[in-house]
Amino acid sequence: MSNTLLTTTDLSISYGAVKAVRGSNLEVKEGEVVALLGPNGAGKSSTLRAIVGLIKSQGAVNFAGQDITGAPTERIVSLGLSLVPEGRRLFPHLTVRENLMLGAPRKAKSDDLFDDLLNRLPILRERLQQVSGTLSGGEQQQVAIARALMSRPKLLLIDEPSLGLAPTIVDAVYQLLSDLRKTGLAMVIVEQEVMRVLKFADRAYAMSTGEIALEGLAADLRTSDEVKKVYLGGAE
Amino acid sequence: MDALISYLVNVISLGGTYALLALGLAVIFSVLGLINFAHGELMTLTGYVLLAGILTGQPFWLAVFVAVIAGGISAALMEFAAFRPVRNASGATLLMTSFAVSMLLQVLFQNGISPRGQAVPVPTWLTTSLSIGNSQISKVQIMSITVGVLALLALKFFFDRSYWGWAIRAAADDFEIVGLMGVKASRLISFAFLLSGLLAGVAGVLWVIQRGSVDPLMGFKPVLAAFIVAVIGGLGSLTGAVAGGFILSAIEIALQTWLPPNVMPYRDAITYTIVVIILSIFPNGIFGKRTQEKV
Amino acid sequence: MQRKSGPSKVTKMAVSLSAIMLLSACASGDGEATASGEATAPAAGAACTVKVGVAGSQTGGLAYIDVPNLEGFELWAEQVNAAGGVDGKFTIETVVKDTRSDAAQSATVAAELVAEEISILITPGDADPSIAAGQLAQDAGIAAVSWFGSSPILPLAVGDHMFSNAFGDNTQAKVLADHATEMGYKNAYTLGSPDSAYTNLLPGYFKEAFEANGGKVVGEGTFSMGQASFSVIVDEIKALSPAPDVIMTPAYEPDFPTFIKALRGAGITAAVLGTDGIDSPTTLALADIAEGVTYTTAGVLKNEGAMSTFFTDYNGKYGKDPETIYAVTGYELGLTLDAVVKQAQSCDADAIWQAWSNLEGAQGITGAISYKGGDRMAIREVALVEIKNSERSLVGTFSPDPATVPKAQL
Repeated sequence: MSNTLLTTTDLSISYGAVKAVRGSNLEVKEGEVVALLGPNGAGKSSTLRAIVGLIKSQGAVNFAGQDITGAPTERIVSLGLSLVPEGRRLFPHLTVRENLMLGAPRKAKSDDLFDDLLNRLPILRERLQQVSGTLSGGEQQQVAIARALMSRPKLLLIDEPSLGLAPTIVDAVYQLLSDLRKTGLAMVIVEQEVMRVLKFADRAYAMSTGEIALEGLAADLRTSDEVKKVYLGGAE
Repeated sequence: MDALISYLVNVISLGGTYALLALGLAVIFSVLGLINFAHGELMTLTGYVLLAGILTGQPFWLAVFVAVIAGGISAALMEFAAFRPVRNASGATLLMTSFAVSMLLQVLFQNGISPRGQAVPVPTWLTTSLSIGNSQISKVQIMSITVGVLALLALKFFFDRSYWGWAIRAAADDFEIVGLMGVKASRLISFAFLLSGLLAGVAGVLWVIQRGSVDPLMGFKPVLAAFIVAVIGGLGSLTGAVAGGFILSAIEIALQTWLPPNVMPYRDAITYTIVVIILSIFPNGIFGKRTQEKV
Repeated sequence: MQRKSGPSKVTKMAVSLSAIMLLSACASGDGEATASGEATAPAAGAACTVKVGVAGSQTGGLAYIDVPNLEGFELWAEQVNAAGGVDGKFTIETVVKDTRSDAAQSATVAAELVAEEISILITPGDADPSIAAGQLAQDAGIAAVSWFGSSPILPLAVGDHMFSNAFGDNTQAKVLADHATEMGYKNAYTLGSPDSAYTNLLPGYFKEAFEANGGKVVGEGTFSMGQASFSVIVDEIKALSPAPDVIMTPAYEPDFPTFIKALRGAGITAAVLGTDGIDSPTTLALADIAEGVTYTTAGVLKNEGAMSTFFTDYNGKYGKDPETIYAVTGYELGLTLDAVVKQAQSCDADAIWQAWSNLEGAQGITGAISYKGGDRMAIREVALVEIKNSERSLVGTFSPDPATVPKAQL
């Protein structure tokens, strides 16, 4: 049950002369939920984007026993990694249905999965033929997560699931994530709402200026003075 | 009433061709962020293939079919030979590459075939006209309306119902995320060029049949019009390309029909002024994205 | 793959691109011509080399006229040099540079050629680039001759050193108008285009001459060169009352085929008169549609009579028959130069210009060619050709009285 699913070894990312991430080492086990914390610009989103091959990086990335360093995104996705990008990034001119269908591999039989997702998210069933750009923020986040699930990932990377959403909607999103966790799906969640994600996650990494400053069990970090000082003192 | 009917016939037949051309540009813009100025040369190439088919005695419809397919395949080859090596370069490099390809093909046509136009003998049944009510409509126009409308309907079906159709529409919205859906970028780009070439092929055949000749520089005017159409509609918007095609056609034909003769020489200037006014109301085109997502 | 950033970026690219084009255009415009008139003039009659600078459109929209003209000219030069040169001592050297059918490029190329101390400059077969190129020759005191630019405003716009190998458009319009009157046509429609001097002014010359003959122009249409469709114009012609019995247009390919297809497709049977631009296989290939079209040109291109030697020689050099009369006119420009150099007995640019201005009765293939006493457009016969059974058939050759020809004005 506790096999390692994802590791990054000395992962570094540069934008020109600026080093966004410097030598980070992460590990995610099967079925585990890991939170990635840090202030704006700490390198969290860059880390997720590098893992799925959207941006170039140095160091090594290993997923499900395979070296995926520098592999093209479509291959990484086909191995079972899926990203819910920051800001949802739905295809606004496509309907909800088309967004979801595009999430599945071209020749995959995905009717069952499609039905299953709609049962979990009954609101979307009414919206299937609606152009996704006209959905509310919360609905868009649900579509974005559902779309990422259409490729049947083993590990879901979620970038800022609660950004810009009202608290009651955030509750609904986390309810969905909690349901998914019960199916054994591993997750990495980048989140600004530190306390909420620390209540939800098994373990957490805290990044600061491109480096991993802290790591540990989520429960421990929740009570750590250092976390309180850095993330709760100034934030919000 | 007759004037209105012939106005509409003219608008639809020209607009359909513009829409097909602009869609071809928009499809490439969706995946590469590039306005492919060599699109016009694909039309020209289609014209030469059509001519070759007719001169070698093939049945007309076979010659048309082969010409359209040739447009598609040439576009895919163009992508492979010219654009793939510079795909990750800046937009300016891509644009320059498209100009270079355009010039190269023009010179090849001029030196390899002839700098002069070549007459394309289309079947004589196409050169007569039909009486509908009190107005006479030429068969070429009826054909260009029929083909244009059928091609647009087929495209709508393709874009709404097929995986690759969704992928191209999705690419128009957000190319990076299409990769995240497991779509291979290079395959999507090849496919987009193939589709764009087929569209140039259909438009090229309609253009050549209407003109009766093909010459090395034939593609320049239509690609310019298609560029304007794509800008009016909103660059990268597929719906916009179609709408823009009919809008530009409606403006041009209206001016040609109703402008007083002494103002007629300023027709193009007036057309472009109207286009500029449209763009000042809709800076990103009528169906363009109102806000830019951040990178 | 970089994310696209929408229209703003494309706009920026387009702007910088046009800036580059503008800059290069300015740079070429600034290219100061260095005078070459003072090339050491040989003593009268001494052997020398006539250096002919050709600023022609090897590519682009004017290649259809410039390429065959150059072929004809080079055939002449080869024959003359094989015989030891003009008068057995003045050899011909041809320096060819491509103007790409572009006015700015024509000026650049002309400046380069002028700097090479040429004896004479040949410019493209259209007024607009010829004006750009001719001005540099004018400033340097070198004679410039257009391949076959027929707009009579060309020498007026440039000055006394600018000539054209073509008859004037006012002259060919007069021939067409006289023909229309003789055929008994009363009501004419003209179709021109503001896009070039040629297509812009010819309908006006025709109108002036036709109305002077007592005819009436009942409609004047305009088109944009390369426009997609002529159906609106055809609708307009159909609606005219009285219906025109003759339609005159200087449109050439690809516009002429498009127009006449749309015209005949709509069932309009009025006679169609065209100008020298449509003297090409494309027009003949229109078959039934072009039947009866009558147009003015320099001569009938047919492998018979005076032209058969030319056909044989051309075929010997290029391995094909000439496709247009422009190959003949290019050869005739050579014959004109032959007469000029014989007269000048010199390779000096100024002597050649003097001789060109006073040339009388040079023997071309299609007839005699003179410049003396004219407006620096070639004084030569205009052939009127009708298309019969997809072949050129001569109606007659004409030399209208200059006093009756509409005046050219800038």
